[in-house]
Amino acid sequence: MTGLDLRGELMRASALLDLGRAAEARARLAAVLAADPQNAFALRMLARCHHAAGDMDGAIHAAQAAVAVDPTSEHGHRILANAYNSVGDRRSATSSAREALRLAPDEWRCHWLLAECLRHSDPNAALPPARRARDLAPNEADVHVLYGVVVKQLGRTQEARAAYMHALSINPNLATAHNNIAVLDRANGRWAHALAGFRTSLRHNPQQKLARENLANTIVLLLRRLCVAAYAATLVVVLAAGVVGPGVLRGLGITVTAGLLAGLGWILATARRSVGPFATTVLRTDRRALIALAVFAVTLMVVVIGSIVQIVPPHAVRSAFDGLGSGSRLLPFVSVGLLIAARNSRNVRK
Amino acid sequence: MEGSPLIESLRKAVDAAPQDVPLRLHLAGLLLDAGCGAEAISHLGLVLAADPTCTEALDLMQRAVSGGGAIRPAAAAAACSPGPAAPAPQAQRAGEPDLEAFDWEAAARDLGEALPPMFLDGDDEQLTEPAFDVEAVSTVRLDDVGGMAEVKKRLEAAFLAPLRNPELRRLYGKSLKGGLLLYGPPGCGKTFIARAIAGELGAAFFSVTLADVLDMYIGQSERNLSEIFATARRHAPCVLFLDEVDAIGQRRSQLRSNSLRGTVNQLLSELDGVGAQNDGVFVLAATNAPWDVDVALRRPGRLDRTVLVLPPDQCAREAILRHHLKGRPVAKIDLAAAAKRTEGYSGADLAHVCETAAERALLDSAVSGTVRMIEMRDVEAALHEVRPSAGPWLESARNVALFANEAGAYDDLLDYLKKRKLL
Ligand SMILES: Nc1ncnc2c1ncn2[C@@H]1O[C@H](COP(=O)(O)OP(=O)(O)O)[C@@H](O)[C@H]1O
Ligand SMILES: [Mg+2]
Repeated sequence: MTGLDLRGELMRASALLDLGRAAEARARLAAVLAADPQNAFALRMLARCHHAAGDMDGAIHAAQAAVAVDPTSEHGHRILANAYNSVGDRRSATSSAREALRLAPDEWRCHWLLAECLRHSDPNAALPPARRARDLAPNEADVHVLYGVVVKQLGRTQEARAAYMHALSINPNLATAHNNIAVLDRANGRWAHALAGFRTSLRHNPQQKLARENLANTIVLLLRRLCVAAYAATLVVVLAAGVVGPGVLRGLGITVTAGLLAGLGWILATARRSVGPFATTVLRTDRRALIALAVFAVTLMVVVIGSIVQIVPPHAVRSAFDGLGSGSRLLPFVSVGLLIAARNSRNVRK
Repeated sequence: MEGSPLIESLRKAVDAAPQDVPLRLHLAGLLLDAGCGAEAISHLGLVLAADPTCTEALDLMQRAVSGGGAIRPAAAAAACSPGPAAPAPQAQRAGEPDLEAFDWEAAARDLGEALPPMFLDGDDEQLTEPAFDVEAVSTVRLDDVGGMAEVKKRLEAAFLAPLRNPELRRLYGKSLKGGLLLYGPPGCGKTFIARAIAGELGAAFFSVTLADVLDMYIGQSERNLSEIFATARRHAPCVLFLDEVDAIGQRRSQLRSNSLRGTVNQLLSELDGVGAQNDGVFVLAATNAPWDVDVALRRPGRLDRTVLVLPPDQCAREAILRHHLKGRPVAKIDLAAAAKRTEGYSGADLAHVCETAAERALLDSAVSGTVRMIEMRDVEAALHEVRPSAGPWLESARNVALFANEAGAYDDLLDYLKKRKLL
């Protein structure tokens, strides 16, 4: 290839990469690199292609080669840091980010990247570079999102929300900002808001795995809460069976059943309204959701049979309690209920 | 070809040095170019007998059997062999079995007389086409496009019928303008059907490919968008085809480079034209990723109609398989069974299946030294090897249909995913 061809191919590759066609860009770069293996520009672009295609090892390899050929390019170190960060090698990522920053102390991307590398292990250390990036490039939506993420890690949720809102004022379509706000909503128990927020995030970028998982997790979380309520109701009914008459018990059973069904109805309606067809997909295919629904159905049945239909008459329950001691009898219910409540706290990610 | 001194001297050289594989391959390549398929195959067979994995030999063999130099009928082949056909050099390496050079001409002659039916499909077992069909080099026609009945119907209504019948056009006051976007998984025939339309329309068809677009971006092309549109307008009524339109018309918010964004703007203004400028220019576009296309391009008057081009159904698969096996030496292929087993395969996957089956048969022939037809077992083996390629596309499409189906833009996609239980 002549110099002119090389330049043309590099420009084509660059356009292809910008168009999101990493595989095609990579093919062109391979030809360029076959002719000129020491071309740092091509190596950097190759690393970005690998990164975009999800091949992080390839990205690290190419970025290392680029840095070896041209150690003075801050961009090369940044690409390398990014690749390390993506595989969770924060130490290498941080040191590459620092090197990039040393070479370009006023480049906001370097500060942004350093904060991104540091925030996982030490959010306090990530705060100054996050702030610096924001000061250097106040019109970039991404710097506000990262700042929000860091301050949220430090427990300053109000400030985080404000940062995300600021990012949205710059770019209303920014999927990550919508997702992060929804996470805050969920933590505050604003379920419908949270679901709608994840949904909006996905509308702007349907290919996001994170928001999709958050959405499914939120629906599962709601169903599990409902299960806990059903358990509590069962406990009340079982305990009451020992002390009240059949008429009162039936009234209690009807109230509890109606309340639980209303809860289920609310969850389904809200999910359906704010999430759309994906809600049905989750309810149909997510194993956790199916288990929660099954458990809910069983507990509800216990309430219905025990109190309303009264296949087991109250005096039999009463004598059974007298014989066994109520504590040991309730243990399985209580423990399973607690287990579910404990698992609720997981699955919440940002 | 007897006259080609290069081939002549290479023949001598190969005779003198039978072990020299690169030399033999070189000769085979030249012979292929010269149309002496049979002799080329005999050389390739020798190379492959010694090393069945030699990719260069495989590639050449592939070429020899498929389009490039279809196994010529005896008469044609005889014309280019000097005196005694392919000289039969002795086996190359000591310790390996002696392989007689195979007399391909005789084999072709013999086979030509008693050919088994090409396809087993019930009624019309007796196909009139000869098995060794020398591929006619012509552009693709709509008839070559297997299946896609719905798509063809939409294209017919959108511009083919109006183009063909100017009288009707005038009668109904339907002017030829606006645009249509074909979208769907890769390899399902969007570009292919456009090429077929080009074959039908001839001079009334203009196309812009990704390569053109890239050349425009880097300023290496005299052609630019406004000139392309100007040419099309001069030739109205006509069709302007924009392939991979997600490249030239990508969402501007997704683009980092200003020049790329500029091209999208330019495309938008060209599509709008001034006054009735674009009358008679129908814009056909295709993309795998309509969700990456700038929404402004989908507004009324631009690419306002969309057609989903899906993986072929069973009938279409049968037609596609038939199309891709037509020019090859096949025997007793149960197309219906193959079509039944290829649910979810794209047209390109099916083409690949045929390619792989042919490869198997030819490798077998080369190694054993006896020519044999492509048989059902080859197709079956190929089916195991080639898997449907639409998976990643379907995953992206599913996410879009679930989360970004605003105003029902992807309802037909949603229906298809539901039908295939992919939601
Ligand atoms: N309906 C079809 N009939 C015959 N061949 C087809 C058909 N669809 C696809 N193919 C084969 O697959 C190849 C790739 O199809 P192509 O049109 O390039 O797909 P895309 O939809 O990605 O543009 C074609 O060159 C052709 O060989
Ligand atoms: Mg195409």
